Parts: sequence; C-alpha cells; structure tokens
Amino acid sequence: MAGQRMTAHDAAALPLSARADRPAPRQEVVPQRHPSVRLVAGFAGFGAGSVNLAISSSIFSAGSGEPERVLAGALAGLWGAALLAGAVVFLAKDRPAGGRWMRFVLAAAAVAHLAAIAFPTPATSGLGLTQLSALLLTLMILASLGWLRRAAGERAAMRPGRLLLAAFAGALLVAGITTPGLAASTAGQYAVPHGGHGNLAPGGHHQR
Amino acid sequence: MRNSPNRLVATIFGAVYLLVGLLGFAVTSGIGFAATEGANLIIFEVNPLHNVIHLAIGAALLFAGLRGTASARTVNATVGGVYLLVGIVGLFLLNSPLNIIALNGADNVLHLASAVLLLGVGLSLDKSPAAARA
Repeated sequence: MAGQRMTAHDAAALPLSARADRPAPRQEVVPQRHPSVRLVAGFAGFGAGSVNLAISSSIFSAGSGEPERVLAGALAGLWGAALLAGAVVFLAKDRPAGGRWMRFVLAAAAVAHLAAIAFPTPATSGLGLTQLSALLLTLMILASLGWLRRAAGERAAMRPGRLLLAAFAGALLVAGITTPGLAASTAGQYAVPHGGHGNLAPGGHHQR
Repeated sequence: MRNSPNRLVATIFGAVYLLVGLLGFAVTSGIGFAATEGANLIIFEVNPLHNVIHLAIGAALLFAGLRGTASARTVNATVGGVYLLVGIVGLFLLNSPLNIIALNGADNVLHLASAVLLLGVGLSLDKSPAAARA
C-alpha cells in the first residue's frame, strides 16, 4: 500500500497498533453543487411519487378488474414507488438514480400525464387535477435536474440559514402542488382530517 | 450549530412543534382525549391526542438538534420518513384513520411540507465527517 492513499476501508482493516502509527486518512470535504436545487428536485420526487400512488389507488378503487384498468393502476403504482425510491437515492447518494436515461423516462412520464389530461379514458377520468399535479411535479424534477446538469462544476456555497429558507420555500411549493392533487384523488374523498378521526364515511362533516 | 442545516432545522421545528403542543392544551380544555371534533389553533385543528404527538415530535427534534449533527440527521430523516410513509399507506387504506394526508387544507400543506423538508434535509445534508462533528 506504500505510495498509495489509504482508504477508510483499508484503515479499518489494519490492527489497532498499526493504525496508531499511521496518520488518519485525509477526508476531502467537497461542497455539494447547488444544495437548494438538489433538495427541491428530491422534494418534487417525493411529491410526484405520492401523487402517482394516489392515481394508482384511485384506479384500483374504481372497481372492475378490466385488464387495461389493472395495467394502468399497476404502472402508476410502480412508477410512484420508483419515484419515491429514486428521490431517496438521489438525496442520499448525490446522483440521479437511473443515470442519464432518467430524464428521458421522466419526459415520457410527463407526456403520459399530459395525454391522460387531454384524452381521458374510463380508467383515468375524474383524475384531471391529480394528473395535472403529477405533470407539474414531474416537470419540476426535470427542470431541477437540467439546472444541475448545466451548472456541473460550479460550487455554489450557501449559508445554512439561507439554504433552509430556500428549502422551506421549495417544500411549501411542492406541498402546495401535491396536496390538491392528493385531495382530488379517491383517497382525498375518504381522508380523515386532523381532529376528525372516526368520521370516515365520504360526505361526512369534514368532507369536501 | 449555526453551520449545520440539520441541527438548525431540528431545533427550529422542535421548538415550533413543542410550542404548538403546549398552546394546543390551552384551546382543547373540555375536549375528549381523541375527540372527533377538535379545536382550532390558528390553522391546526387539534385535540389532546394531537397535542401529545406534537409534544413528543417537538421534544425528539429539539433534543436531537441540541445534541449533535448525527442525532439531528437521524431524527429528521426518521420523523419525515414516518410521516410520509403513514401518508402513503393511507392512500391505499381508504376507509382507515391512517388516511390523513390527502386533504386540501392549509394544515395539510404545512404538514406535507415539513415532512419532505425533514426527510430531504436529513438524507441530503451534513454528510461529510467534518459536518457530522459540527
């Protein structure tokens, strides 16, 4: 290992006495690129994933096991789960899950949401606002990833206070788009409000 | 603490949740512990059960925020993750008290915003060893 930089794994494998003789491996601190934009992309991923799962739940709860309905519900559910997992990987590992192909998949999903709004089928009718919410969140992910790609190499340092303010504004924007989308789904008609547990039937006191 | 976004967000959210929990008891006197009709605290509809939950979440966040960056990251990600998971499970258990996320109210927007913020900051920031010691 002489002449080479020792990794943290190598250091952990050494006996204690040997570790004491060697200098601790130098950990390079690399500032993240545009952390506020990365956070907004992750938030939008959580929002889009939730809304797609609400679309899936709405399609399945509409009953009748027609093959196209089952297929549409399963696709929306799988895509929603993939978006949630992708957002976790993106935030935790600092790289988009799925590599460069992800933007094409996201663009295809945006087109699918747009088509569902423009040409509603029996499986997707009544979900216009939910589809619009999913479309906006998907476009938000695409825009954020595009920004990060164009700004590759730049290091935009931000003070923690300002970063949190920007992140809170992004989280409010994402929640402001996601919540109406969820509320317009079937789950929204059954949802139990804060302080309203026990009043479960649609059309109850707190229902829209 | 001022250099760690996780400690900042845990401390601020912890203090706010604790305050909301304490003030909640001032407006919910005479209301059953898990009453279906709560009382309004600004925009939050609360009952004593929700006050206890707000107090518990606030105490956990504040404790972690004051303790250190590693604790703050863990508690932020856990609280945000659990909240989001409950919301998502509720989407598929329509006729269930777990179905709490999908309402178009200001308090739900704030709850969802705090969930994604806590989870996102916990997963994404303060990952370097130097930051973890901040």
